[in-house]
Amino acid sequence: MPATHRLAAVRPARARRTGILALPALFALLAVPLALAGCRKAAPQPPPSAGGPFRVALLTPGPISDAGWNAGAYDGLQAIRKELGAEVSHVQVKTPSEFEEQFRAYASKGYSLCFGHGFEFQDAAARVARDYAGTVFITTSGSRTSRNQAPIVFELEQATYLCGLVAGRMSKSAKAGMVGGVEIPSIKSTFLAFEAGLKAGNPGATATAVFTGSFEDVAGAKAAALALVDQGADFLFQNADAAALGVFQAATERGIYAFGANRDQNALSPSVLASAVIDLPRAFVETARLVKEGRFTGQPIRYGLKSKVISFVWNPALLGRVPAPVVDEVKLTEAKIEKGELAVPRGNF
Amino acid sequence: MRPLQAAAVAAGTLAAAALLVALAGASPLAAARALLDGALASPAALGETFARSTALVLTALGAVVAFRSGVLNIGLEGQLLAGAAAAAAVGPAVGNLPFIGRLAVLLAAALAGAAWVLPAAWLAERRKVPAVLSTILLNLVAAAGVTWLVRGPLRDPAGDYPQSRPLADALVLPPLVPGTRATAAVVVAFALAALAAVVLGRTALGLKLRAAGLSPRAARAAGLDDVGLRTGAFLASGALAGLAGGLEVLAITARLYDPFSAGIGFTGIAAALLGGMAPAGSAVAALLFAALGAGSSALQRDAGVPSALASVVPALAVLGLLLARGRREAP
Repeated sequence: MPATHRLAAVRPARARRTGILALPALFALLAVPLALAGCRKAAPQPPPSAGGPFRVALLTPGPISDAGWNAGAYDGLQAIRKELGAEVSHVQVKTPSEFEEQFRAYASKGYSLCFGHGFEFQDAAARVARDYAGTVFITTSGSRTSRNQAPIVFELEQATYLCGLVAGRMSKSAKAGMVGGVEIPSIKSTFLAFEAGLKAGNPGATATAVFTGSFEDVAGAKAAALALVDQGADFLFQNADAAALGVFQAATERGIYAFGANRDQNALSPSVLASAVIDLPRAFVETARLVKEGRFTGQPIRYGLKSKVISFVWNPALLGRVPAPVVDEVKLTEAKIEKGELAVPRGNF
Repeated sequence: MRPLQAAAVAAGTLAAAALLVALAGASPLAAARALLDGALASPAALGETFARSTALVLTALGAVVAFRSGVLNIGLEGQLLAGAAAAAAVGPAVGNLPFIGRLAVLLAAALAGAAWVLPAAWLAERRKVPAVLSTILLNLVAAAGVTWLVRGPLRDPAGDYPQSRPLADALVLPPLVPGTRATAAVVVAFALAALAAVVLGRTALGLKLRAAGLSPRAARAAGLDDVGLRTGAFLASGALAGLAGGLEVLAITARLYDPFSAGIGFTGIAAALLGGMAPAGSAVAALLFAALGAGSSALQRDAGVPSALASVVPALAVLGLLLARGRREAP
């Protein structure tokens, strides 16, 4: 047995060296197909046949049972089925490597519209949109556009401006606090609008922002909110997702008002005076209607107060404590924003 | 008698899967068709199966190389993440020189995968800490590391989402067949499987590795450096998993995301076990797992099977397969 014979003769040091030499050999092998791959361009696929049933697909990054972001999108998809008579399909993707796979599968089956529910779907949508001109790809938030791709942009700022206006009019200390989760442009943009509204209500008022670095840390958000109250703030705005509960707890403990954001949070705490709300299902239905009626232009689809996708909702239980002139002014300002007479500032992102 | 038993197992598995699908309110027949359609029925579906197989083949090879040398490397998932992170860190920096850039990305990925093994290898050889334990823990560290990287140092300043900066388009591997997602990465994976089969089965190095794996004491008595062999195999195993992560970035995602992998490293170990801990068998098993993965995503898409259940059906199929194999090999 020659192999065993050689084996016995080998010294340990040499064995180790052979092992180390195997790696470069692997890489020499890698070079071949990589060079072959070169820079070939993908040929565009023919567009799927028009005229069939209106088919709409939705990709969500998480489970549709989350009672929040993903559930809202799924409700929107079901509303599209009911209101527009569309055939619908939904998949939950686990990792980004599946984004393109699912977009491609839907497009190749002739779906008219694919929603990717989040900023993170943009790249994959752009890659597939190039190959399938007959399918429209919509991402909820984002900035990439093409002839058949665009993001939905939620102008929540228009409602947070109104929150700021209320705080400006009603604050006794002329100080408001803003608690954010992670410091990202979309959150900062809502703060920018809140502050603008605050100053519109009371030019001398100031707002202080704190970011806790987490959308889940309820205790951290509460501590940040209490610190803001200690500095004199008697109105709290927040955009901290689940951590908002901490802000509401702080507001309740100190007997001041807070605002809800993204969802109608008026029922969550007796301290929530009003909420800046996004109606996700409505946004999905309106977008699908746009595509179905051939009015989609490849431009970002903006939804603000006018579309009713964004709304400012008073807490009915607390409305009696709001001075009537403030209620009237909010209504008036809302109308101005809807008519385009008042432009609410928003961050560039 | 044996084929009969295998058939009974297959029928039982199918019946269980059909029952589950029916309970979820979907049609078992439509589910079966979707599973096949999504995995095999078109060039795009086949391409998807191959695209998914790349990382599975490489992590399965990593498992084979380590396990056969006597190292229970359960940390392939973490090593894959380390490789992907390194690829995403190096990729945007090398600009758009396709050949050099890709090589640099893959080299960084493999080195990072191997580097992620180092603490476990040191602990195993110097402190007698079981590799099973240390590598599992390093998986958790790697996952947390990815979470931190995409929100911290590697974060793409453009936009609002925690993801790394993208690789240049010229760097990302193009599909071998337009309209599919199968790239040269697939060729790399299967070529490495062939190479591993040759090295492990037909060379002196392979024999030494297997000898060290079968009995470290006997290998040492025969004059082999069992520590060196084991450590070398451990590092190579990590490098293969790291390469899997690098190729995933280079061929498919072009960025690092969080979460990046849904347990590819663990599925790779399952493929290696199903493939009898041999490179060729493991590559075939990895391809099977990839087909089931692609098929199960079509289950959701085309048959309306809920997400959670869609991954149960292929798992049942694999259980059935293992059961049939176990019966066949029982004495």
